[in-house]
Amino acid sequence: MAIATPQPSPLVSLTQLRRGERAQIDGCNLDGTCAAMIESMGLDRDAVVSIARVGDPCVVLVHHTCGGSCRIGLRKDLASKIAVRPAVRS
Amino acid sequence: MTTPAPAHATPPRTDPQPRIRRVLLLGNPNVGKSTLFGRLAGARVHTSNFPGTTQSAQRTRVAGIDLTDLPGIYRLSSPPEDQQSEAAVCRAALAGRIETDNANDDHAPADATIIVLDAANLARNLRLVAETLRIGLPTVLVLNRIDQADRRCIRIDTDALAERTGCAVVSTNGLTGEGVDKILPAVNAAHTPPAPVHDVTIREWVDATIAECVKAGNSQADAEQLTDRLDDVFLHPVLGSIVFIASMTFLFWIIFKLAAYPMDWIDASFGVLADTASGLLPAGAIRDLLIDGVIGGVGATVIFLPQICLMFFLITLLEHSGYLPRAALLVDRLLRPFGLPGQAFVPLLSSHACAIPGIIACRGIPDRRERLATILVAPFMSCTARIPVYVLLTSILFADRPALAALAFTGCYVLGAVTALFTALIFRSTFLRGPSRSMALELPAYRRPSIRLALIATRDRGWLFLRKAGTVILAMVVALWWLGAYPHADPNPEAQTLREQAALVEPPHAQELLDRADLAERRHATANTFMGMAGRAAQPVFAPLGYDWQLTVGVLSSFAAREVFVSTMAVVTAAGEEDAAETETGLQRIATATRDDGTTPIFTAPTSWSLLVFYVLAMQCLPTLAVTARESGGWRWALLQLGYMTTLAYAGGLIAYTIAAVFTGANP
Repeated sequence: MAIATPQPSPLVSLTQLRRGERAQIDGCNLDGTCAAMIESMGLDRDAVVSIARVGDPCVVLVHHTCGGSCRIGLRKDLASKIAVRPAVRS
Repeated sequence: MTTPAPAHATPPRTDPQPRIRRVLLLGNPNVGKSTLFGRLAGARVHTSNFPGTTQSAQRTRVAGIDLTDLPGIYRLSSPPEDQQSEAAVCRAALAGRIETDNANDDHAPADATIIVLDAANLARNLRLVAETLRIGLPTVLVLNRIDQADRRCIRIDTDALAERTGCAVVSTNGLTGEGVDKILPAVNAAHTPPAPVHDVTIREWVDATIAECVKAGNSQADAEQLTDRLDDVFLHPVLGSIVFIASMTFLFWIIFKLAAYPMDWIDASFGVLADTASGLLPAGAIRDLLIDGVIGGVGATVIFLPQICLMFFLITLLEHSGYLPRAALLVDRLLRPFGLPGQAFVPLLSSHACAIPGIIACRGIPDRRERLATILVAPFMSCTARIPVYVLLTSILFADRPALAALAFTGCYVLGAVTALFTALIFRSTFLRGPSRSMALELPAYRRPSIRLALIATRDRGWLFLRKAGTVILAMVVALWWLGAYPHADPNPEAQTLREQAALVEPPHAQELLDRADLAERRHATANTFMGMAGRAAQPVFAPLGYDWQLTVGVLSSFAAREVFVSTMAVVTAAGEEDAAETETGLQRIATATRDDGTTPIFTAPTSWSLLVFYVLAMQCLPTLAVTARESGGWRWALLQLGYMTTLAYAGGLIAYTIAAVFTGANP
């Protein structure tokens, strides 16, 4: 759809992204309940995200294939356990 | 993008369906589900965009359909260990195993579901649709916030969506009510849809559905930029904290300032009511019960109503504006070390006005254990009812040193808050142990709050409280009044002598003697009631804290409401009847009153310190206990709260007495 699929690149933590930088979620290192919770909010594998606010708490925009997006606020300790693949800038 | 999967394996059934009676309303958090429910039900439901506010299912009957509003969920499935989650509640409701407050509710399985979808965010919402369709109930899809999808240039082909899901699709705008009238007819005509094919994953089905039914538009960059800028301020550790402290200070200033007027009116109205009843009824037990028990007791409870209503009105406005989830996220860092979530801050803060709205506000905490911990510690926060006691004791302790009195006053607030946090930590490490829900909150768009919806929420909360005040609280208050009023003592010889003297002297002097006779009579009567007897009997228990029998009566009688302490002490010590804390002479009389030996003051410095700590920590509010029982789901939690708060208050009082005795050189 309208969102360009990011190119493969090395994995980093969500907290290492710069503001506005897009990335694709690879996975998370969280316990079952916690992982299920953030996945159900849309932060699941291959979801395209960007960072709207860095710091603690950070704000992540999840870009959906329907053209909509939602805004998730995350504590930094949680965000640091989510691995993402940043989009390669052209 | 995957190739679109076949829409459904079989065409929709067209055979007649049994009549639809029980319908469940499902949807993600923040899709406007509760607002739609309110429109269908004709209001009367709490709505907010704070994720997970709808903690219990709400019901209504409309056009012959029993409609239940379920908590907002992202998914129906949840890990097996998470049995208290909103998803578990929804699964129970779908299976006909839902618990509601009303014993008349039938618990049969649902006949149909309505799934409310955010049209501007269809991809995530469709996951819940896929899960629900697999259950195989007739379903109507409501595309809410269609205006926002339009603004983002997201075009949804509703015919294609209906074709693919096998469900009727209705477009609505919950805020304006547009399209809402089409929902129930669609429910009545709903048929069992074919389940999404089982050989593809939910994600594949959702992607294929989006590809088939949605033309993606441009993201609304301008609105996002404004939201980014506001988030930068509200979530900033320093700026955000300043905004938070300023907004909360303003909130409580309004509550304290504005609520005072209606509270005075209520007080005056109940006074007039009591006077009228007293004029109409003959003297006797019935009159005493009605005036002192029922009118006095209900008046003392209803007086909190303005604070409760104002608090909920303002908090609902904050919730609807989208600010509250940001504040919760910001404060989470401060509360998390104590095992409490960010959402606990508003309940704890509002408990400084009154623990009752604070405990009711705990519904905003999604996790059951965290919610219980917050409910259990909320009454440690110094509420307004403690103020008269603090004023009395700090002014006794620091008679001519207002700065030190103010410091001690502030210290009471700090002691209460610190005790609450550490108690919560202990509970969360013992019987409420469990994983903390890591703070991940959906941050809804900022929007102008609706005054109408806030008024509806306020009315519901106020009514809930009044219903409680009219039943359980009334019964308990009457019981305590009886203990404090009976049995009637024989006439006091001292009062009789004074009255005889009054008959022999000139009127101005006679009046003074009659007043003294009345006071002596009241003191004598108090000492001989069940409460007075209990005071004497329980005095040995309080002796280590330095309390004589009169103070013990004060402590026992304020079990129902702590502010009663000052008026009880005024009566017991035969001081001025009214405004004991306000008038200097009344205060001085209490402060200088002596024990039975006639020389030792009731309020020595160690005793006053002990009482101060005792009143900071003790659970002395029957309405709060009743609300705890209701909100926590059982009296055992309320009794636990009473037990540990009383124990802590006693221990704290003992420690304060011992330390103060050492410092002042008194003999502990």
